[in-house]
Amino acid sequence: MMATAAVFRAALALSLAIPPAAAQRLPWSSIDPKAAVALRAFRQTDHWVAEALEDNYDGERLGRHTEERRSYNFDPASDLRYRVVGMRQGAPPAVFLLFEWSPVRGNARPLASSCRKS
Amino acid sequence: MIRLARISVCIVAMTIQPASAQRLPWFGVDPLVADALGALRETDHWIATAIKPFHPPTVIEGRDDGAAIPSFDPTQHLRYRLVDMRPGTPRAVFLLLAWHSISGNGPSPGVIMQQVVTAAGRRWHIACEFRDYGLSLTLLDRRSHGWRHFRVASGEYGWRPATFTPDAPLPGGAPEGAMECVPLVLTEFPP
Repeated sequence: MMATAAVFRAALALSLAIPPAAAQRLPWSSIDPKAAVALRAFRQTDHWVAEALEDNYDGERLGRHTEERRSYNFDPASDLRYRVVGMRQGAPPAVFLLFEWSPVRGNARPLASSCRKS
Repeated sequence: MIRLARISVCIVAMTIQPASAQRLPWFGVDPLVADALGALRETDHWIATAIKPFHPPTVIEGRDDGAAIPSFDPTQHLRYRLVDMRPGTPRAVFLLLAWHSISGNGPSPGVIMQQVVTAAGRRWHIACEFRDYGLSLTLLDRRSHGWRHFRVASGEYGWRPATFTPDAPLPGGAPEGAMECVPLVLTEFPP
């Protein structure tokens, strides 16, 4: 009796958890948390790129685009490229951060820095 | 002739990497998502106001360590998803602002940004606001006006043509083809 109830309950839980066949469950995407932590650590340094990232190029508009001109302030959603790479076995992965951002790049190649947890 | 051959061999040797080398693409947020976030920031929507950055960082009064109020940081606080909601239309962008400053310990606010193709070009339109915990979103099989229903923490949503664009009032109302998502079944939360 107890076993039947348990099976029934498990079946109910399962049927609630599994969406119908046609439904599709999608995970949310985000930037790799390792890259986010590395960027935050990099921003604490006195590196000239880190200092440039904090500058406000937009005046009062603070990151908002206008019809005349797009925002120049650093926006990781559009200006950051990254890659988390295992460079040596047994060591924490290195995080490559690439700043495809005109204030530090001009029209030259983008700037890269590599951060490692230490 | 020999010199030319030597040069070409040299070029080939430089372009072909050794077999064990590994070429990796860079990662980044999809440009369409970055564009949608930029468009949201331009509006007067309360989320746009809440994620407005501080410059210079605002220091909390009375704290010796000079702790600054953090600004919204897309690398930590943004969840997103590009979804094909209706064949033949640009993909809708789900943006979830998973940031404690605006969500507290409840589900985070999010918006769906729809790209509307008009004669004047492409324009962004806020289709609706919802709330979710940031684990997953479910696309359902049902459709209205060809647009797929979906379910997030704040309930199940359907679609209808939009009559206006929230927080970006236009003289002519919403552009043609703009859609609005409306809650159909409210889920009680927190459970």
